[in-house]
Amino acid sequence: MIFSIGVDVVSVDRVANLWRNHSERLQQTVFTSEELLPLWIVRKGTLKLTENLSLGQRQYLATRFAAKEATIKAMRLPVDQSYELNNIEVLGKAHLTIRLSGALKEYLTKNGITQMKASCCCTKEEVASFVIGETTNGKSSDR
Amino acid sequence: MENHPTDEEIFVRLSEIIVQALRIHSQRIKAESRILADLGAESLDLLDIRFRIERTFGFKIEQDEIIRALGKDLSIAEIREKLTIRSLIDFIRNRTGQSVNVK
Repeated sequence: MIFSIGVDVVSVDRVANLWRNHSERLQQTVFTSEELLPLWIVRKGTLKLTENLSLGQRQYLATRFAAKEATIKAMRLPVDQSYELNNIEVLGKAHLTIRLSGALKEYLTKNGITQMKASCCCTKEEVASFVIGETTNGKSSDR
Repeated sequence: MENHPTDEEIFVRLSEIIVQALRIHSQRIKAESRILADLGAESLDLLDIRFRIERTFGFKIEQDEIIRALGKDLSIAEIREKLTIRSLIDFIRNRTGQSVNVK
């Protein structure tokens, strides 16, 4: 049974600007190390995260962000729920896998949400992500 | 920035942050301006603003901590009304009053 749904649309260039200005904090709070794997490059013999994102990489990051925001909406989180966006890990390309950790994983279990399913689509300018939260306890969200 | 900045100092620094993050003219920014409803901020912008506040004022902010400071059990509509420049000034003042600034 569907617990709830969430959708979000994100500007590709806005995410790229956010990465350019705040990549360190984004690594600490928004993206997991596995999510950032496609952004690692070797420069002068040193492994480092790219600063100049290609279009594909910008779309990739924007997809992660849109899916995280859509997941938050699909979970119907209360405003006072403490979490960080990297408690939501978004893996895959067109068909996404959502993996939760920390406080959000506890929230998931507590509310009987058994699975989060996600998909996305993108253009050069924008990415849209749609997430469904499923439950087997017969209760949909009333929030 | 020295400890315990005045509200005026916070407003000046915060206005610079909002101008850079939202790419709007400083004349649009008033104490009563609603970040979402009046100034047009979206979720990415709130993240940008959060990180810029951290860097400028020297303390870390958790996800949605600014929203939680507005009050309990608020609806989305109430958050849109209460999240103002003034509420950000109050948040920053409360945080800078508690911690030593670290760059």
